Amino acid sequence: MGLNSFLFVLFVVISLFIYYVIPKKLQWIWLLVISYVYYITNSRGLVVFIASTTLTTWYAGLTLEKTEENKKRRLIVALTLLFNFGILAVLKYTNFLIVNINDLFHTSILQFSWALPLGISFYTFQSMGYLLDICWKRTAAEKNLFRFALFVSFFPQILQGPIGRYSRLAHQLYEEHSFDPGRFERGFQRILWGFFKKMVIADNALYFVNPLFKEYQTYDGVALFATVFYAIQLYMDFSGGIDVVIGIADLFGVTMDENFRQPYFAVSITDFWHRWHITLGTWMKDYVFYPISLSKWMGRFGKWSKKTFGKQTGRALPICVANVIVFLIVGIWHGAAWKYIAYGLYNGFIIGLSGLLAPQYREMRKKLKITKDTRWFYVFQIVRTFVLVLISFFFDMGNGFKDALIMIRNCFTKFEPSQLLEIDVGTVAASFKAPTAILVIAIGCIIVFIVSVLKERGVDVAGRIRSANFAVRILVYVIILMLLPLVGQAPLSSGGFIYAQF
Amino acid sequence: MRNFKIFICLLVCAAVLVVNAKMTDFLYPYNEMRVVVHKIQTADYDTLIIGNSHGQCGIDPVALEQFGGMHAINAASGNEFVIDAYYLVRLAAQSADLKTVIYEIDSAYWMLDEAENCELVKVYHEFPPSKLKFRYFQDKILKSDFRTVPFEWYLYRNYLGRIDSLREMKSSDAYKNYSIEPFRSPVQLMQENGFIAIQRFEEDAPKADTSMTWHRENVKEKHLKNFKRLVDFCRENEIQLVCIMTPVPEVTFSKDQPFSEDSIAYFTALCESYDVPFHSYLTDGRDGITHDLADYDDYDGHMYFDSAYSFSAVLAIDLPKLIENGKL
Repeated sequence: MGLNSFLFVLFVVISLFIYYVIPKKLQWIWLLVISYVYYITNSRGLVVFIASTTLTTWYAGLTLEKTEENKKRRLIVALTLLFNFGILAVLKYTNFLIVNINDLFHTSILQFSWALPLGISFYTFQSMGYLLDICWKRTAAEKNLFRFALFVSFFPQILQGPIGRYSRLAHQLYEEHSFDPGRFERGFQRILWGFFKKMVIADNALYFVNPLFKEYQTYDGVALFATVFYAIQLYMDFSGGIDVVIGIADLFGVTMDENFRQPYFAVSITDFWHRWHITLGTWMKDYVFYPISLSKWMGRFGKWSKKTFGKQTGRALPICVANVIVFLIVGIWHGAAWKYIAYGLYNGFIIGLSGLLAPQYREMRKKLKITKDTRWFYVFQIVRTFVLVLISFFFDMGNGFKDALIMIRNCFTKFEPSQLLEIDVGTVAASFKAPTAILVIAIGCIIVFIVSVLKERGVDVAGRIRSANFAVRILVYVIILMLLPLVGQAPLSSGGFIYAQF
Repeated sequence: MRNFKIFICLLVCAAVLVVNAKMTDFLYPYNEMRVVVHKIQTADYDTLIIGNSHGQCGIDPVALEQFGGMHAINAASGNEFVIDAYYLVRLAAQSADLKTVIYEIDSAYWMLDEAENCELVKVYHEFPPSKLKFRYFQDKILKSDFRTVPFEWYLYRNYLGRIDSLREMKSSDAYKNYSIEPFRSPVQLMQENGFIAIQRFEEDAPKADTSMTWHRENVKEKHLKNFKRLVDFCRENEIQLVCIMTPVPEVTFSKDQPFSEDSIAYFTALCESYDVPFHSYLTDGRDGITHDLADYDDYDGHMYFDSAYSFSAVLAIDLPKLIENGKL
């Protein structure tokens, strides 16, 4: 039951209707029921995994709260983390390990063929964040198992996040909600916007991304376009999916954390990760980066590096190492393949090195008399960051590490944009010629760009539309709705959204 | 004021749905399945042929009648998945005194998901509004992209550029009378019984090669489930189900394609497990069954009309033995 299926639309409509009709004190129970119905419909017997994560984390949280002894507390946390991350690691990475062992030692160990439980990456991180919040006394443990189960399994976010925080999300799930037409319209707007980005822009771009990456030897003259189309597709697909998720949650009166903030306007890779998949970034910052940075061994390392490299470098080096570790984990989180690890390390090293070389960079700017606050410098930073991101996407989407390097080389050695015209976009009887598809993507991107610029300047675009004349609003919504079948592409795979694979 | 706005919203929703339903109806192209489904509901027959394009142009009902006394409708078609075949059988069982179903198995389709394109609704769209169609909708369309329901026309929106010819077609007698004339070209001649007769040409046209590799692990669970439903339905309604694989060029069988020893073994075992008669003609070398590429339109295995006639004659003679013994 993907987010784009008619069955899901019916499911949400019926669930919403009942949600606002039943006694308010039963609303959270109904949310729990439909979340598990959704989960079981999509994952069947694999529901045992989310149930076991829910049970172990809930019990560990309660026990942790009652235990004052540090040694015992650390043991509870360690065991629960090991159990739940262990499940994730075994299910997601065993075959990767087997493939590499077979390659290294020329063995023929058979791989396992098992399905991944729906949303395992997301709900595991979300639950473990809750546990660590209890450990660090940032939040009280939830005493009601079923309420906690709702926090873990809340259906709009299970497919692709955002990764919620207990302190911000949970109370909303348990609160009573009255039907609010304004909020309803806001949710509907968000859903429509999400599908516009996904179906009109991302799904058209996908028809270029697939052949340009899979047959990169044939389309060697358009390697640069490959990564640009992928940048468009990935952002529109992922952020579009998040828009749909946030919009659906809004319909139920629940506000989820934002996961994107105009990431391609970032002025550095660090800034990019403050704007892209924000909830994963903040989770890594709060539960990996800070614990590593503030750990005893990192403290010792910091002392040693100050002694060895001087005060400035010595201070920056531990942060650099922590960043590399964080982004190694980010890479691994994305998937069981060396290219994802390369992707993570690429980002980690850039961020780490930029911190290490910050004084030298400041010196260079001073010598070149470059003022930081000028518009052209701001644009330069954005373009520079976008180029670095495009390079990383070669590793993310490429067939493998070596193929990614060949594609990067092709960007500088070959340029034949006419190769793009050979690509047909869409399915039989609903296809576009390449120029038409490129026009659709370009216009879609311009619309998104304008909205993004306004949002970056603090303009609430959706709010402005909502405060417009009723007839104007209806017209806007109908136009966007009709664009979905008129110029949107059909999904190439069931489930629809890229991040649903996690 | 609030009630007025709700009323307007509902009115707009209704208008959008009605306009799009009209667009769906108008833009939907006239295809051979309209004729076939009409025949299923109105003709007099006792045998239904289901399956894919190999069956559509490989099993000639005329030969089945001449050599086996069967009155058959050929409802096989490209992109007809097991679920579509199942519902065609159910429609036929409702409409005629159905005794036998010949299911032409193309193993490639069993490894594929139904693509979200105009072929997705090719069979479904032609069904008359009924409880059966509603169940078909629940089974197939409900899980597809949400646009397929209110905006089905998006699957064939290119026809927006051919409104004039569509209007002409839809107002023609050929369309209203379910004529096969629009589906008769120099290359392919549709027959009244649904069979597509592929014509031979003197000039050497390049043979199409649409290879796909067979892996039994790739067979989709849902196709197996739907096959079981088909088997159960036939059993409950005393309809004899027979499964076959039609002949292919020898050069095709030698490649590792959906037509291979392993695919034969797989479907033999599958049919045996359900006690359904099955025979693979992929490499059957008897008289009347050709594996010469010259007798096919392509490497994939679409027979010319005369090769199909000869093969169908053999099939007609084989069927009683196949039904009695479960295999040949």
